[in-house]
Amino acid sequence: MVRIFPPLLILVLVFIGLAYHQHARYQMKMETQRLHADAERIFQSTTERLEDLSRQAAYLAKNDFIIGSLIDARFRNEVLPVFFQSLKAHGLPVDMTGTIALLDYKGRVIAANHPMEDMPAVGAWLDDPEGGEERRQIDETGLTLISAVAIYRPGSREGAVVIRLSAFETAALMDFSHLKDGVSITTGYGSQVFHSSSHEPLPAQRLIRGRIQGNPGGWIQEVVVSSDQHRILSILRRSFFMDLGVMTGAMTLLAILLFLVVKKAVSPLEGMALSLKRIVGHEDLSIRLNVNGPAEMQHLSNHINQMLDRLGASTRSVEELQTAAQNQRILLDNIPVQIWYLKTIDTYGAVNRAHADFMGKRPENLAYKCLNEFLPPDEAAICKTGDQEVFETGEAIVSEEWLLDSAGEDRLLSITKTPRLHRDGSVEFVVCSAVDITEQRQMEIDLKTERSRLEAIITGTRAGTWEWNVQTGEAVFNERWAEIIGYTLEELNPVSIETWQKFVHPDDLAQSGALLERHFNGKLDYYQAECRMKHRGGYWVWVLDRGRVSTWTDDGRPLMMSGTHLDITESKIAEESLKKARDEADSANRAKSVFLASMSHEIRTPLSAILGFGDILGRDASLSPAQMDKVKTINRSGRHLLKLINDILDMSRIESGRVTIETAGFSLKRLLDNLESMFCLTVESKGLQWALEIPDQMPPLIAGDEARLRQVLINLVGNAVKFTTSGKITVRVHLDADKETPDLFCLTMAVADTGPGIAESDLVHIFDAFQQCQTTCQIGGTGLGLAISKRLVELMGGQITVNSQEGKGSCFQFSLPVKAAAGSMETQTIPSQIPVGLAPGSDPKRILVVDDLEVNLDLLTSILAVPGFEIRIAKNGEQALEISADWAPHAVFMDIRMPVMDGYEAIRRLKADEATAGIFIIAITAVVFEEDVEKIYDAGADRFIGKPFKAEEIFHMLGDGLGLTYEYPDPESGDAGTCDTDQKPVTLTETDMVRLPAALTQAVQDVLEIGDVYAMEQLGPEIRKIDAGVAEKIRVLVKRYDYDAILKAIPQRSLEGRRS
Amino acid sequence: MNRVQLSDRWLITVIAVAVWLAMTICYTGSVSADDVRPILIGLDADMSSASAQSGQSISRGARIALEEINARGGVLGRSLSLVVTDHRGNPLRGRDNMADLAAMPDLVAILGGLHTPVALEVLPLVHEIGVPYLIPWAAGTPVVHNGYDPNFVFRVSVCDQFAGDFLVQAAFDSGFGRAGLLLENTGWGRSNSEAMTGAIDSRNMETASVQWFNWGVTDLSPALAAMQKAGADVVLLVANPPEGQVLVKAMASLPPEDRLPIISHWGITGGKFASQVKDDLGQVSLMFLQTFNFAAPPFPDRADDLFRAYQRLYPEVENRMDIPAAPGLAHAYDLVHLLAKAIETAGSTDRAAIRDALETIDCHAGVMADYQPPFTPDRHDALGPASLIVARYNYRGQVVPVHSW
Repeated sequence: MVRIFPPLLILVLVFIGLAYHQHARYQMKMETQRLHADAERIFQSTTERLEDLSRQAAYLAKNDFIIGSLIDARFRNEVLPVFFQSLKAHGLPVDMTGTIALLDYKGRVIAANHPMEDMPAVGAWLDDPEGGEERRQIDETGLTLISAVAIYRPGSREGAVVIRLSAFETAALMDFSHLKDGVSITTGYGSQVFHSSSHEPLPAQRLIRGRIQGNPGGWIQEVVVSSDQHRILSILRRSFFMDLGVMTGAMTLLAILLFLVVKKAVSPLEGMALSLKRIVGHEDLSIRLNVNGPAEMQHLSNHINQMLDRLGASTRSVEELQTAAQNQRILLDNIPVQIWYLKTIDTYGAVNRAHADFMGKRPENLAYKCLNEFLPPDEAAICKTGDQEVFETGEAIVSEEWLLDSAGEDRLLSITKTPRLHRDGSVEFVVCSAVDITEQRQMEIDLKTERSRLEAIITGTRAGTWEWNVQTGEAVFNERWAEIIGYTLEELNPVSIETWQKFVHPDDLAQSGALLERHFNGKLDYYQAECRMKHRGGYWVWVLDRGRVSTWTDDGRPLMMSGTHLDITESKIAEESLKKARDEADSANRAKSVFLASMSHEIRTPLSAILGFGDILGRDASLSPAQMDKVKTINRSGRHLLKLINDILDMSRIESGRVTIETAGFSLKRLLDNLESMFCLTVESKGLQWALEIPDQMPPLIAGDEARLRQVLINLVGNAVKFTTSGKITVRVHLDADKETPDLFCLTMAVADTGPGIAESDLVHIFDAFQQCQTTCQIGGTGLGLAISKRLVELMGGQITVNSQEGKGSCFQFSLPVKAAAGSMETQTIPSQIPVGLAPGSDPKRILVVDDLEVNLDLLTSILAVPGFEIRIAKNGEQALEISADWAPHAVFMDIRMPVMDGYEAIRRLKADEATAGIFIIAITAVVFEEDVEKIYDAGADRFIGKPFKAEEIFHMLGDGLGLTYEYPDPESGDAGTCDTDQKPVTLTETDMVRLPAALTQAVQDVLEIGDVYAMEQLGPEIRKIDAGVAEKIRVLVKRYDYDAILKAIPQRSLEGRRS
Repeated sequence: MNRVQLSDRWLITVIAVAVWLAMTICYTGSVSADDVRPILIGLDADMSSASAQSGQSISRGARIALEEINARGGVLGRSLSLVVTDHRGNPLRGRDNMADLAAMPDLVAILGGLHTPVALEVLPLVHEIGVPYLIPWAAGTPVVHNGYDPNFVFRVSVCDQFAGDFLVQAAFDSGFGRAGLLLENTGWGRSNSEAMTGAIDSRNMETASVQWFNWGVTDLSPALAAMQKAGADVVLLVANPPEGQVLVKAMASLPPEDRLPIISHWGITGGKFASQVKDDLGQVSLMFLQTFNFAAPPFPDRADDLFRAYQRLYPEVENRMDIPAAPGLAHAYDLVHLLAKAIETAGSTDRAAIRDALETIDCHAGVMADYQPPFTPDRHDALGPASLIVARYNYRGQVVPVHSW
């Protein structure tokens, strides 16, 4: 150590010296650079300042204000001095201004900011045309800047701006930047040197200099920034040695620290060594090391402690072992499994009680004895082979053997022989155990049999089975279950209830779920659902899913449920197709009805117009009888057509189920009275007797569909009247109260006549649509009446029957359930007749019809054109008001939608004005929504009627509002053509037709085939010329529209002739 | 007394003749001694700067008159001579020149130049020294109406008092109602400002705007813009050639619909103007006042004589219309003749006497007018408004009268 110290020291010192030297050099270089940069900066800024000053002078020289002042005396004297006083040289400190002056062409001062001497030199300079624009001078007196002023002509030199700075001021302009370093600036234009502050000049060798040289002819020639070398060096020295000292101190400290730390770390080892020493000396095994020290020491001591623990643990007392052995013995002797040890192939080791019992010996007698002593030879041989195998192979074997037990019974034992091997692989001993599985085996066999029976049944029924653990979702299916949906069970595995859910149709799944719920809740005993399942082929198969919960949990929830799937696809398909066919038939039927109805509706609308105007025409007195005849024909035809269409419509409505039976209170008495009055004239004219039998006690009102009931009655009574030529027509009414329900009655009505009766063969079909028997054909009608009546009666909840005897008469009877109705509502019945005029003795009434459309005006005025009404028209509300004011109508029919002034407004105004407020206003509108109705009444209308309206309604309303009594026409041909011409049966035969010439017959046929009634009427007179009787027959048939009868009578040869 | 003998008569006659001769010789001797020294007339004008042409015309006019007078035998038996100094438009030079000229003995009067500012600058000196100051051009009103008594300033030229009115009338006659005044910021500008605003007010016109500029201004667009903003419809200009050029350039750079017509004082004609703004001149409407123009001289015969005399001395000019700054020529010519008359009347070179004599001239047939009389004690301006015409530059750059009003 001592040896290496001196050289080391020398080495260290050398290094220190080198480092110091390098450092010093570096610092010097840095310093020089810094000084250089400073010099650069100072150069730039000082140049800039001087330039700035030059710019200032030039600016002043070129300022036209200053030029103007040279010219104008007033400016020169008054303004210029003040202006110049304000001037300061740029770049100077605040307290210095420099001298700025304006000189004339001879160098005489005109104005200045400080008193100044004239400068004749400037005059001389100005005189020199080559003098240049500017002159710069820096000398010991300071800085002088002269800028020539040109007046009147560029380039003329008539004056000068002079900026003068004293030496002090010039020095102030130099930028010394308050550096500690010495700065010297050598300026151009005279080469003046300026130094910064008062610095003792240092000997040149101590200076570090930064130097910048300027361009020759520039403001600054040179800037030198210098600093003291010694200062740098001293700083350097200080810093360097301080660093060194710090370093050394740190190192020493570090070394001491390290030494201490190591010492500390090593100390725990001492303690450890001591403890171990004691343990090794067997003094006390229970000592454990306790070391406080570094982590590694801790680990070491922990491991040593563990080792000591192990040591302790392994020295257990012999008693513990013995106790354990005893426990083992008890265990062995108590278990029912036979256990015996084999030391060799045929020598026992220890045996347990179970084995000893089996053998019929005591354990101590068996243990360690030779096998052969106890076993029968065959058994011994078997055992031996088994044992041999084990001993030789050294591997465990399991076998089943039938052996005789001590009681002499055959028992099946499952024997396991496990060798215990030495380390070298040879067998040390064999442990054998045997379990008596005789009962178990038997059970297995029984179970199998049972199972196969079940399998057979299930397979026989081709049922898929499922067993479902409701709580866990596990499920077991059979092969058939999978087969139903086209899979194998293997393909579907693993299965659970989700498998089923996956294949089921979602809708059926929902339904199934619901049914399951109900079954679980106890509402259903069995669960049964028809579900669709997705077959592998992509189509749905119908499955009948049945099942039942077999076990429940303790808390009443279903646990296990099992059931079957049956493939019912085929039957389902059959079911479906059947349903489809039925639906199709139904919809076809309905479509037909709808079609009929809409078509009929289309036809009905214009037909109403025909009838309407036909009626009007019929009341026109100016027509000739022949014309009136024709009009009546039109009307009749129209009415017939209307009836036909109405009937068809009715039928179709009934068939399509769109007829609703109203239930309202009505007076049966009044209905029957109406009925009587409707037919009384016809009955009288035919010379028939009329009888109406009604019960004595009839409730005033009964609830039912009055209109439908009336319809049925009209049909039946009408038929009776139509077909009966002589005798009596009886209408019987019974009301039988129901015993159980007080309000319920059975209304039975019968219409009996003494007419020709109906043949039995026809009776069957009498209620069918469009079936007219022979006789009725000849009489006329639409053929739908009875069919409609039957259906209506059935709709009303009743039944209709017919009794008839040919030649004697017929009785149509129907019964309906009805209830008695409360109250005494007076339902008004609108007489279904149009009056022909006011009752005699009434005052004429003035009626105003207001509508903007001609057509509507025409219609209303025509309808109202009965004697007793004076009618005027107006085109809009305004006209209506005018006319009302003048003419004072009794009633006004007001259309709503009109130009100029609409109905609402007109009504309002009429009602508002006292003079017209009493007029009975009926508003007519096509739109009949509730709001509109309200609006109409709000406006003040008395009534309103919707378009299209019935003439009867018009008259009814008018009658109501004005308190009128009407005169009605004689009931003409009412509903079913009760003309006497229609009564008699007419037979037209071929013989009759032959009487006519062929051409005429041909004409008749042509005309009838196209239904040209008018042409037919033309032919009438011609036929009459030849044979009046035939003509009459033909006329009647034509009137009845029975063209078929005529066509049939036409001889074949004509027809044939036509065909060829 | 018959006693006087013939020989006695002879003697008296000889002695008388000798005496007379001696006296004559004496006198003539004194005259010829004086004959060696001419009478000096000074001329201080801008001979080299922007109005050099005016200075040249004035000096030529003076010279022509001088030659004519010298050809007749001069004045008071001595010839006249012209001493020329150049003030370059710089009033301070003018003052020094004036001092130098006035210091010369034998210098009886000084002719001025174009610049009113110089004239105004030297007025105190003129009156301090007491030398007649004859103005052939500078028009500023206070040059003549200077308040000095005795007034040493005499002018054959335009006086701003009636020049201003004349220019405003020209504007008025042309139908303009809102005049914009653009004036140089000197005494000349100021004197015109007074005259013009007075003339405008009296005619119920409006002074839309008054813009001042300094000599040496380089851009008159701002002033123009201000005028336009104020709604001026005509520009009345009082400027010298440099500033006049700046204005014409500024006016030509405006879009045609924005340009205003310029009616100017005659300052711009004192130097090279037309040639400097040849292109722009065609873009603007520029008219100015003049007094003498060879195309329409007040007395054509006298004008012809003048031109012939001019050509004799300066044969390089062939076309009289090419003579620049013609008014200066005519005015200086008339002034020198008038001066000669005054010197004769005064009978000496005493400046004060000559000043007084100028006021007493009865009449003179000048090129500009028949002066009857040229000056009175109260009026030192020989010309009046009648002498003014309106002129313009033709495409050749010659000054030609504008016919009409």
